[in-house]
Amino acid sequence: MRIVINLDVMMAKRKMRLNELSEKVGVSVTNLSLLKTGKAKGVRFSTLIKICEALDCKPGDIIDIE
Amino acid sequence: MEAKTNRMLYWSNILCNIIIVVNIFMFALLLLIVVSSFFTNKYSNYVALIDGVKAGFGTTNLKFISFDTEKVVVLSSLTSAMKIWFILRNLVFTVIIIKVILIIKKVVKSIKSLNTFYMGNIAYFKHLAILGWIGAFFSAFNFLTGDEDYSMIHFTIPFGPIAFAIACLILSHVFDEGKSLLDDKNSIV
Repeated sequence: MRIVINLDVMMAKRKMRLNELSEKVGVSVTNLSLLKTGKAKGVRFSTLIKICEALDCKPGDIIDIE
Repeated sequence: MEAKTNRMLYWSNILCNIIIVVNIFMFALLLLIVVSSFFTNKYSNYVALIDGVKAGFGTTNLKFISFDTEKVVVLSSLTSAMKIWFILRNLVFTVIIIKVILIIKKVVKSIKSLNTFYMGNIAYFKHLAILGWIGAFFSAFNFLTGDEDYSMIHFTIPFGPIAFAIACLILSHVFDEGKSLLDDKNSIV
């Protein structure tokens, strides 16, 4: 089992680009890119809330397990 | 807090420079005295070895004496081979001290530039530990031959250099741990 990040799926649904999300969330494009590609080791609750607010979704829409 | 740390690093750097200068000066002085004793006994009759025949880590082991002091090993009574050994032994200690100080200066510089936990510092502490072991090896023994009255060999357990080497090895592990924690922290978005 592993954690998968579906950030790119949600971004595509909301038609939002990475730099736009970066501006809204206040996290660098580099870090968001790490998160999107699954290279990040973790995500802070504060970042997760901001991403959810920006994409109008729930944490479960972004983070999944497979 | 940051200003206090900066001040501490500033004074550490200055202290390191002072130690380097003093060590170079002391070794140059020792070299001058011992080398001059090859050519003349004018001064070397008044120079005695304090810990020169004893084992241990130290570079300033000469003292000036007057004629009526108790029986001591004067520089002029040493053979040329012993004088060369004396210079070499002190050279090793001086080089170790200068190398250690230069590495400490590099560590201080990295801390100053807020780059504390990186591979360089881990390697520096390992180098310091190696220098500590070399220092421990050379300070574990000393000898004096060539004169029947004073012939001796002296061994000791150099706790100072050994403790230094162990402390540096532990610090290298601490910095290694710090680096992995920093890497973890940096990879959390």
